[in-house]
Order: sequence, then C-alpha cells, then structure tokens
Amino acid sequence: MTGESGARGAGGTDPVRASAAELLDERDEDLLRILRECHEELDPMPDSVVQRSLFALAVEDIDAEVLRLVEQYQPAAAGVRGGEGEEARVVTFDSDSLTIMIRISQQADTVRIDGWLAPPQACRIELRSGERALGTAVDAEGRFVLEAIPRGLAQLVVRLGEPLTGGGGPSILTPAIVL
Amino acid sequence: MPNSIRPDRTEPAAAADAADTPADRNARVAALLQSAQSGNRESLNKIVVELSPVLWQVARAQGLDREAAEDAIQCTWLSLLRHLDQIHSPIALTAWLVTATKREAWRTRTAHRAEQPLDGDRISDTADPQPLPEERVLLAERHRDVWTAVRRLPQRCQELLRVVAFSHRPDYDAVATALGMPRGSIGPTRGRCLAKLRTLLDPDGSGITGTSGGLA
Repeated sequence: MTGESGARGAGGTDPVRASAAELLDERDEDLLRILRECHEELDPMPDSVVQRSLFALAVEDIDAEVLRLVEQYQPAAAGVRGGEGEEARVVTFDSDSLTIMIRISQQADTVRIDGWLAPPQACRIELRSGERALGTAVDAEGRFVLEAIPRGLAQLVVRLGEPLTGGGGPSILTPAIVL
Repeated sequence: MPNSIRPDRTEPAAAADAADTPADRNARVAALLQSAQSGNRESLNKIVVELSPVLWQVARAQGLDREAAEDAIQCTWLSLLRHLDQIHSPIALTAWLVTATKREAWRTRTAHRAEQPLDGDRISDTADPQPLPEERVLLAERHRDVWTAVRRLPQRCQELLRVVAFSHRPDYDAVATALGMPRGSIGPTRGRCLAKLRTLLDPDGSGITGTSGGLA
C-alpha cells in the first residue's frame, strides 16, 4: 500500500488532481469506513427511525398521498389547567391537497384526539394504533374526535370516498407519531 | 498502474464488509426489490432496514435536526409505496430514495425558514471550524486524525463523503448525482474529496500517516 501511495504522489505537480483521477483503492475504502464509524459514534441513527417507518409502511393503502408533519407544539396554557386534557399537544400535517390539525390530550391511560381537516369535507378517518384501527366520520365542517386511543405509535389514514365506509375514493396517510 | 484497477462486480471480497461483496449485495437488494414490488411487505421491511442508515446521513447532512430527519425519512418511505413499481434496479432505488430524502429536507427547511433563519453558510463551499473538543473525546484515537481532517474539507465534500461512507460501491455515482454533485471533468467529485482528504492526512505524499496502521 505504501508503494502505491508513493506512485500517486509522483504522478504530477498537483497531488490532489493526480490522485483524484485515480479510482477508489483500498486506502479510500479504509478512510470511508473510518468516517462511517465516526458518524455512527457522534450522530447515531435512533432505532425509532426504522421502527416508525416499518409501522407506517404496514398500512394497506399503497397508492396514497403522504401528509407531512409541518408543525408540532404544546400550547403554553395547556399544562396549567390540571386534570384531564393536560399535556395537550397540537400537531399539523400538510400535503398539496389537505391539511389536518390534531389536538392530542391525555385521558387517564388513553389518548383523545380532536381533529380538524381542511378544506372541510365529509369523509372517514382511521387511526392505526398497535394491532387495531379506530375509525370515525369526519363531519361536513371537517371536525372529528377519536377517543380511548392506546398510547404508542399511531398513524392517521383519511379515506376521501363515501363517508360511512371511506370506500371508493383516494386515501391520504400521515407518518406515524408517538401518542 | 495495475493496483488501481477498479474491482468489477464479480471480484470477491472487494467491499469493506467482506461478508457481502458488491455483487452479492446488488443481487440481494434486486431480489428484495422485485419481491417488494409483488406485494411482499417483509421484503420491503428489509429494504427499510438496509437503506435507512444512508438516508439518515442524507437528512442530517442537509442540516435537519434529529427529529426532523426522522420525519423526513419516514415520509420518504411512505412516498416510495406509490413509486415502487417504477424503480427497476437497486441503484435506481438508492438514487430515488436519496433524491426524495433531500427533497423532504428541503421542504422542511423551507417550512421552518420563517421561524428560524437558515445559516447562510450551510450550502456554501466553506469548511466547518475545527471539531468541538467533545467530538474528539468521543472518538477512538485512531479515528481522531481522520475526523479532524474531514472537518477541514469544504462543506460539499463533507456532505458527499458522509453519504458515500454509508453507501455501497455500485451506488456511489448515483448517490453523488442525487446529491447534485455529478462527475466533473477531472473525475468524480468523490475522488476529488477523497484526494483532498488524503492530502490533509499525508501532506508530503509519503504514504505514512497516523491512520495507515491497525485498520483491520
């Protein structure tokens, strides 16, 4: 390896240019591996990246539009009221055609979601949570409520078809979030 | 220069991870892709496990914080569901995913720009300052020299090498193109970045550096 490096340096007056023209060698692979190990040490990918992605991908709707999480905050006043509804958190999802804002509040051991969908339209919304799916109708003003949701990973699926079943129309998915 | 012939896909044990040669890996991902396209979710899940680490590097190198990077990667995988049928090779799959993650990162940064002005230097071609002391403490001694040198490279080189370091050899050119750094007139940007790195580590070209020993 030492001899090879020497040959590289002798190639021209500009060692950077000369060695850039060469193809990847063993030493480059070593440098890349060390760099990979540095990043793994300094900025490790959390396990939740794969866990949340696998949860979200288990959805049945493969031809769905994807909503993006655009905003997440905890209203400052929410914590001081005490009792049920404390620790409320507001999350907004957005796509080219739809915006959903949900308010997530804790109720004893479960979670309640108050949601608004815009532009408002009667449709069906489902929440995939653990092994089961909870569903409810979205009213003509775009409002919906989901209650008694177990904590953990959850994903919303909007079905824009017929309001009772959601069938016959396109679907829109959110990423999985932790409730 | 007989030593610098690029190993082709059939050469055994050419990759850093000896258990999985570029050819093996390419065939394995090709099979997973085909199986996922026919509706096998378990194969899709294996692809997620295999390729999420490189997407993490893309999102983080684009300046997203850890939480935003996680969201961007998840949206990339969800978006893949409707595009899976149009992707015909492992290289095309990596290219599509890297491009999509970069686009998600761009969207996220644009959305947050009003609240948190973007550091104007991020996309410029300037190097980061010296690594922070705590970064050095975390790294094993033999890695510190390489890390210190990498941090002195231009930002674009740091971004490219970070992503390439988590990619597999057949994907290198596709990754560079997806990141907007295609092959230039004097060879791939990757080669120039690696050459600069080698020069920083070994300024006199002697081949003797602090990293050449004990790399097994």
